[in-house]
Amino acid sequence: MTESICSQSNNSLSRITRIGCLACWIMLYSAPLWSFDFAENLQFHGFASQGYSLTSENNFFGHSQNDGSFDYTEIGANASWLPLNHLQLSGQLLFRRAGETQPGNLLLDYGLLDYTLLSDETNRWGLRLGRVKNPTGFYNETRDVAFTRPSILLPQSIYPDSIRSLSLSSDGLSAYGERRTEYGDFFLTLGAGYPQAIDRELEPFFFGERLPGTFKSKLSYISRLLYEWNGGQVRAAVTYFKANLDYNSSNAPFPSDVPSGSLKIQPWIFSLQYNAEHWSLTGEYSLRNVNSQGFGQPTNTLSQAAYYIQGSYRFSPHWEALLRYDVDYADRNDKNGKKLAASDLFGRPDYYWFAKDWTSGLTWNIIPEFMLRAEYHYVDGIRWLPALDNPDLNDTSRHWNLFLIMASYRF
Amino acid sequence: MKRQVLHCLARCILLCLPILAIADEQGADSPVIIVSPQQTPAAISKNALRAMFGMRLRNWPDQTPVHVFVLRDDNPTHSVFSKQILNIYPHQLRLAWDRLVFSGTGQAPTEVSSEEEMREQVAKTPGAIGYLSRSMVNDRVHMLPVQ
Repeated sequence: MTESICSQSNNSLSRITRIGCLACWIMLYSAPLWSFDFAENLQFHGFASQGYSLTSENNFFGHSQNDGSFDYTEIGANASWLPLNHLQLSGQLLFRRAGETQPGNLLLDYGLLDYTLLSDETNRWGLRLGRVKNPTGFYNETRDVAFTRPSILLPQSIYPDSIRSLSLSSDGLSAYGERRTEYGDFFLTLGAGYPQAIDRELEPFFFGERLPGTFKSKLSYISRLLYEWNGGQVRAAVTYFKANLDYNSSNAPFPSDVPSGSLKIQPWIFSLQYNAEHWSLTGEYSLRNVNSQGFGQPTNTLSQAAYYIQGSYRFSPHWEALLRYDVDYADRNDKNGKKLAASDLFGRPDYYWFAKDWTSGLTWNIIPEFMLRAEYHYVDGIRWLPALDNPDLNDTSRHWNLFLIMASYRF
Repeated sequence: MKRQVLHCLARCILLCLPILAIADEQGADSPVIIVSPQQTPAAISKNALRAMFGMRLRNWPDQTPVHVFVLRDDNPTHSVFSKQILNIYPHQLRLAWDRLVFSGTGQAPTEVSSEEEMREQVAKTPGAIGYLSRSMVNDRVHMLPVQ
């Protein structure tokens, strides 16, 4: 069952890829027929990052203990074209490898048509149709581009890689508005669509292992209001996301599968950032209600809390240091996870339900196109430890050290 | 008497400081905004300028498409332009472009490798906007004052 779904999604992926390739060829071959403007309004960009992870205990992105793991790769290439000044077509292919959770897949990261309805000195309003990146918090829209992140790993409390497919992008429609005033600039985005739901990520996160059933996303909603003062010296944002998901059971009796159910994941995210010439201070706080119905269990709502505070200092245009404290609670009324562990169907330990992460990092921007980064995490809890890299969550350590290195190139 | 002289001196220094600072910032070779000769608005507001260089305002008031030219991030003139004219740190500007380019919601400005090339490109591209050290400006490009 799962296999056939996989091959189906592979088929649709290869179809998308084939259409994309065909479109590229047509564009390239017909380029000389177009006016000079054609090439002028066509841009290609991309990035490639390779990471290395080493852990004292537990596995993160592959077998990271002892000799460490190189199973962390991010490669992306995009094209954008403005056939008219108010119309942009753009698409990005993304290849990502991250341990057992993502052994290496190619996907259409976004593919959209952006039409500006109104644009003048103080306003810009428009619509985006297609696969559109989800604008949550400060970093989500470009979460896989190392140059736009403050660190190798984004703060996992607000940007969990363990359920990243849900937050990546949505297939649907989105409306945007920008208003520039003397008090600062306001950016509003409202979207409705179907987020991606990849079983390989979601099942281990919610059930601790792969199950024979399948997840399917339902119509979901997203909105963000972002404010920037003085060209981004102060940035503030409020995000509300309502992701709706169904789990369709294979109907095998537990323990090989659980009954069908549905999940509503509803985070509010409050973001604030101050940027000075040499330092930045960033904090994001999220309140997340996770409502579950079905699964053979009584209806339940978890009130989750997550936040981080992060400071970075630029010694020079080439060197930057980072310090961050990042906290994630699966239930803010049960911060030590004791109650959740006692009633957990899958018998996971109490330290599975929280994570507190101290991170320090160093970035070396060698040239604008090439960067090296290293960071060290001291983590208490395994809330965002990939379950597929650690098949027995009871055989993990509550306290663990994670060291990461990444080299990244862009064009 | 001594006290009065000191007072007077202190006042002079305080009065002169801002003038000295301005003189330094608007020195003979501080960057200025240039546009293609066809583009002749009298001036541009700082908001509109930031929106154009932020790659969010794509048309001039007469609907001509805006074409933005910039020097490399590590070019000293770019850094001075970014900080003094836009009041945005160069790394913030780069992040703003990256957020557009890697989410499919905008394009990057065209990068040129020297001020000579900047002048050449802005002169021959309709709707072009860029910047140059004041001493590099010639009559092939238009200097645009910022309001």
